[in-house]
Amino acid sequence: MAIRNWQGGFITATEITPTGPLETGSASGVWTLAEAAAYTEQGIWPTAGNLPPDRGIIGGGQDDITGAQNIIQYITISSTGNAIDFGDLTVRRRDLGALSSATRGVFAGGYGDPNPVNTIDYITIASTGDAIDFGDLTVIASGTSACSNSTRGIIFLGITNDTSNSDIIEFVTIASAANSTDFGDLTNSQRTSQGLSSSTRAVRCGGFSNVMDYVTISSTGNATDFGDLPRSAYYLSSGNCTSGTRGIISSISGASASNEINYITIASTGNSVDFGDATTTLNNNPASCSNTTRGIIAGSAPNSSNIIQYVTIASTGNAIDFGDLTSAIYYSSGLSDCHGALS
Amino acid sequence: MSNPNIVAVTSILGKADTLTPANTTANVLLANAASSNTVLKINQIVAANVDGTNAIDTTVAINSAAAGSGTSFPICSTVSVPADASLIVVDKTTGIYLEEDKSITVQSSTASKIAYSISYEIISSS
Repeated sequence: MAIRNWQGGFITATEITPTGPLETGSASGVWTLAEAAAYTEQGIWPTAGNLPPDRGIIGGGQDDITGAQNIIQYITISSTGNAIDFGDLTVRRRDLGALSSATRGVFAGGYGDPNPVNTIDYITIASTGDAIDFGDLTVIASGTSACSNSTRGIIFLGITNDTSNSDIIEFVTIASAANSTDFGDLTNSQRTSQGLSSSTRAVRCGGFSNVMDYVTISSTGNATDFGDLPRSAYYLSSGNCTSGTRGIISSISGASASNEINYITIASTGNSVDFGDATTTLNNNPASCSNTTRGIIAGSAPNSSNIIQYVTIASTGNAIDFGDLTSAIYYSSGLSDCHGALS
Repeated sequence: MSNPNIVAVTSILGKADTLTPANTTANVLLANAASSNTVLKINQIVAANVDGTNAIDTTVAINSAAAGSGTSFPICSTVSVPADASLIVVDKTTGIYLEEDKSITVQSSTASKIAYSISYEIISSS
């Protein structure tokens, strides 16, 4: 059936093309069933129940009873509801890195029971299925952190071969399951840092120093110095908590827990700036993720905990209580299908 | 009684009705009662989404008995009407004769958000 575009324009004086297919898509005008069918076929007819991506994932971690976990759980970021069980990781582990596109979440490295691993596995975020093997890191690594844009994931390896901190960066093409590939190097060695990104720039924050540095995601070049954290920190939040413009750093801790939250302007090279406070002190790698407006911090409050809290990224306000994780964990990692580096 | 012979009618009365269902179940938009001695010619049914943000599904059906009873035969089933948009479900090119003891029902996926209007003719032979 041919589309007659004048039908929508008949009452608006301007030709209308639907902006769907999300439920909130615009298509003001008067339409026939034939036009609705044609635009549905084109995938641009606004459709009830077709909601924008809004899922946060918390994967892996450790509890105080059974050690490293293979559990994955998910939340609806714009809600304040409890986490719900997802499938399982292919390998039980904590201290892992996590990154994501709008459809696929990738977990890299980590410390299993009883040894660290070079495992990379992935999930389909919209499902609730088990993780599937993706490939391997070039070396065994734990205390990894990660971030991404919509196509490339950047992994800051952390402790390699269970011996020492490293300056190694590797990357994966998220849509293609394969081994990771060497990138340039960080400006210093680290572990348990936090990775934050825009669509073009990936920033590594801390990890046994106050150093932040960045790489251009599309390159494979060495990192360049960014500003500094307020102090040397490790066991930071694990996950890309970003609006695309602003990145949220939490669990700025180490030997002692902290409720301090900072933010960076990713396009700058400035120091991190004080944000509000977390609802609890944090330590031991809380999982973190976000959509473009809300940042999530889950678990590790400061040890094994089921607490989830959120911040409004554009504000500098204090964190607010969210629902609860399915169980108390720490050393987990977060990702989402809607973070700000995807656009 | 049977439907009137439309080449020998005694009256054709133009009429329009409206309904905004306040629930998400099927509601009778128009019914032609048994033994009414009339046939209703449906010229237009429009579903207007008055919500300014979200698309809402509509289902419009012919029912095999009056007052929404009998079996439901959708003309359109869970078709989304975009925010601030109207969907022409029936127009003169796809007109329907609604015979005695049949009805038209409408259902929206969100209460009070789709306004239905129907324009029709009451064709009578007595």
